[in-house]
Amino acid sequence: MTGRTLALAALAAGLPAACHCGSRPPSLVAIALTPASPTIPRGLSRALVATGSWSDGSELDLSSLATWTSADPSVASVSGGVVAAHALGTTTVAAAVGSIRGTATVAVDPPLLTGLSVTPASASIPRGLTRQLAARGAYSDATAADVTALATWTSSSAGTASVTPAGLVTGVAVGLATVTAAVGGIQGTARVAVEPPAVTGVAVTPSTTSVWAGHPQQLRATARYSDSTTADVGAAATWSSATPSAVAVSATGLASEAAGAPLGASSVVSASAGGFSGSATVSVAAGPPVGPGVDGDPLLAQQWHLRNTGQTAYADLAGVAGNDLHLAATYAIGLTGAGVKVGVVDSGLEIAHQDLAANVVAGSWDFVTDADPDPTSASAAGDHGTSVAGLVAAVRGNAAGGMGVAPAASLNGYSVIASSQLTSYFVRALGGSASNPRSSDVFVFNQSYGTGNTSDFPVDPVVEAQYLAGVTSLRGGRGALYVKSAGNGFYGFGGASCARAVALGTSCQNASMDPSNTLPYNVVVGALNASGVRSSYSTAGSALWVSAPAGEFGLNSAVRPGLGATAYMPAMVTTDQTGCSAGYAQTGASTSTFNQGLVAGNATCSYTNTFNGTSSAAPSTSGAIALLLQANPSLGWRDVKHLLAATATRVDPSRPAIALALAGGTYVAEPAWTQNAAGHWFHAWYGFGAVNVDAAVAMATAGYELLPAFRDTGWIASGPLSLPIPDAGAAGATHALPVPAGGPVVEAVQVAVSAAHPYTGDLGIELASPAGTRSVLLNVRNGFDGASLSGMVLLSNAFYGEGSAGTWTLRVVDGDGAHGAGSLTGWQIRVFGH
Amino acid sequence: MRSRAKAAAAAGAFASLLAAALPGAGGAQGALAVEQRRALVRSLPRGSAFRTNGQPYGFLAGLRAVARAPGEPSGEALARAGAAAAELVEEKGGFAVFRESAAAASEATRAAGRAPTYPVAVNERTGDLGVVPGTLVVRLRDPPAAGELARDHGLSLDFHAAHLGTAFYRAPAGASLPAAAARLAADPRVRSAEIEVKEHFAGPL
Repeated sequence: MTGRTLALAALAAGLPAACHCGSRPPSLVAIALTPASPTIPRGLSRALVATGSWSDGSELDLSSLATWTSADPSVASVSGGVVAAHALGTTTVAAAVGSIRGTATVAVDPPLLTGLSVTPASASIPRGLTRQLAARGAYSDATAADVTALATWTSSSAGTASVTPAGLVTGVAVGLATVTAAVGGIQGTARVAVEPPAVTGVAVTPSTTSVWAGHPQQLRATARYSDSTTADVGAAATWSSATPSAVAVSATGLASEAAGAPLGASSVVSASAGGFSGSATVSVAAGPPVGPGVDGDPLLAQQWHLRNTGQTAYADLAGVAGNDLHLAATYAIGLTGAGVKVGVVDSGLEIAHQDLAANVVAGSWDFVTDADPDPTSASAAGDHGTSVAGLVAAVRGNAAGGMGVAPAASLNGYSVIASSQLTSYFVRALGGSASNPRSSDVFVFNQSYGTGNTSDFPVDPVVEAQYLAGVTSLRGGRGALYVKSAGNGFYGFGGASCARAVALGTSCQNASMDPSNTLPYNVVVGALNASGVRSSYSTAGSALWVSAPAGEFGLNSAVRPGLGATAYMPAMVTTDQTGCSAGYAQTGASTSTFNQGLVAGNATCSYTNTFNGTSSAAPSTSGAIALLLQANPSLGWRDVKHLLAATATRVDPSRPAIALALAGGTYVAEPAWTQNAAGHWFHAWYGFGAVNVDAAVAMATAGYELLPAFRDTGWIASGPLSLPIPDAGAAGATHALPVPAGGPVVEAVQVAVSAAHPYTGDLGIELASPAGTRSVLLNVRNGFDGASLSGMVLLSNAFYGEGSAGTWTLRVVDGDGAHGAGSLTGWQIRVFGH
Repeated sequence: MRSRAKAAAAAGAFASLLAAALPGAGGAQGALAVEQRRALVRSLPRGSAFRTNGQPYGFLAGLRAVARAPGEPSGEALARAGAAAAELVEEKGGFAVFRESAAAASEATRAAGRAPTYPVAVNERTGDLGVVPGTLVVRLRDPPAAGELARDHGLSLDFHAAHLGTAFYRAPAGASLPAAAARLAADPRVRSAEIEVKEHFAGPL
């Protein structure tokens, strides 16, 4: 042991440092602590070193020998030189050996983050929904705290699950993602599984409605999902009626008057799906007036399209009660079409007709002479436009005739169809003229016309531009409605050869053969008869939007014997040229006693009971739209289309698909009703189904939200192809085109197809969406007879509401071995939507 | 309102619809059958070729068209045009297309007051006929120039759809439409100029 060591030992023991050895030992003169000013997070400890300095200049670590003290042990205590931080603040720590001491100023800082966890550690989120995650920090002082707001949040796959800076996770696409929260270098994670969208609510529409004898009401159950999509779940929902003695409801949501239910009785009808339910109030009503003379309109009782009681409409055979436009609730709240101007683009309009004059306003034009504001037809053989106008807006309550669907709408007539039909005439009549005619203030254009071509031809680009201008700028920018007849060519048209289509049971003419029908701006309408199914003649096609009453032929066998039953089924009762020497109704007419002027209410032959065709379906729809626009004037043109589609009734629901045996398998030439991925049902014979005015008005007036802005993808082209179309082969030629991500939600899809083939009437064209929905755009064995398709444009509404991004597949099939094979030489696709 | 023409035997649209839907219900045709018409067209000499709306057309020598009044039988329309004996080839919308005799083909033989007739063209892709009503559809680079163009090219302005940037002109009787269209197309104020052809007519449904 050296002398210095002995001295230290004595100092430590509290003995005098004197030494009796022969020489004087060095003495301890100072103690220094290092670090001199440490900062220690609360909850942590730190060792200090006490270094002694001797008189001979030497130093020695005295940490283990020194006596350690803290001036404020509640802030930091010390033991053996190890300082433990307890509370925020400062204190002086001293180390002493004998009388020599050294000090350090210890600052206690906030505690250190030592760990981080994310809760929940694993989460399942339905697509479209959000989940708030939390980040919890563990600290050096054994405390914990929420650090959600401090953390930096990231996702391993933002396309699956995105996360906000605040830790809010959104399910974007089905899949797995890891979400990380980080504070400094400390991280925690959570595993997020994004699941398919969940039902968040169910709505039943119409929310209030009426039923009466023979007039059930189809209710719709629409599920709202977590990703903001909706779907018709009517078929899957569980339906119930709270008061079944008043109103019964079927398993598919068809509400009907219970036997013996008193007028005014009502029930809450509910639909449940996915753990949610919605309801509607259904009342038992008397229905609209239908008796002779009611409202002073002697023919009203036979206008089955307004209220179908199973009347004959002066024909030989009766319709089936309930198959009408469903107008009772609409009329009950006073809607008449007032304030809505309808332009009848047709052969003429007898503006002085007793049942039209009060609704005719200035602005009509005669295009036959192009010099006269009076479009009254010079023909005595029946004026198509006058009969069309009566279906839209014949006057109610004037002791004459019947009434229009919108009996107080305003009328203009533009006689383009009887003229030379110059392109400029169509532009002027379809909204492009402020005078002669004044079409620029029209809300609804009725176009009960169409072409009968047997080879394809392109749409007139100037007329297409006028349609676009009309939906863009008319009606204060909300867009005019263009209503268009689908065609009357199911069994024949324009000299086409239709025997093959008749034998197969498909439509010989396709709605897309008329290029105007392939524009999304037109509401293309098919025809329904008084039994509630497709009128015999009504042209089918995927371009149809809805169907509406139009009837069959309305004949009397006593006047026109020897025809099939269809001829004697009800047609439409409407206005006709005035007098018994002109019109469809005139002395000696070879159709019906009503048209001969021999029936009470038509002694002047100013009305007809044999008007029909999709020419009648269009004005039925135009009148319906006039009522909708009066109910909610803020509706845009696409909102009106949406309301018609969303509330249409799926008629003839069990109609089977039509299949054809071809080489290589069975080909479905005409699908049955098909529900697309967005939940909409579609059939090429009916579009989305029969117009239901009450349901549409109810939806339009119950917090309806307008559709987002209209947009389209532009044409996406295949480029030149040379794909064989085998003769009578089920496989056909197929080719796929991609629509990139970010494409619109579909409102309509156009394709333009080019093909070389010895007889294009053999060809069927179909399109499959990325979601797998299949739509036949052109039936095999149709009435075309040309040798090529030159960029023929076809339109399908069957994909309404689906997403457009992904692969669309075109298939062209030769459906008859009589003419040889061909080839697909190119195609394009354009998607319209929002 | 004009005086009404004599009533036809049956309502046209209804009769044709009934005929189509109920085979055997009737519907007489006075014009050539489709195959006869196409054979005739193939045999006729072509005049100038032109394109309208992407379709290839050629004027047909020997065919003319006359406008029919609403409800007017084609025979009466042909008679008004001084072609009562001509062969009716096709009824196209409000026009009757007929084959005129060699003697009548000369405008000089036409008596004053007769109804005007119009050239006929064939769509060389489809073989279908189109009536050429004498109008030109012009897309303008400079919409305010619509009136000036009419004056500068000796045309009458039928209608100016300013919102579409399109004007419709009519050439004077006897003027060459292909030449007028070519002159317009060469005008820097013009985007495109096409001869209007009425190949497809809308009918009441």
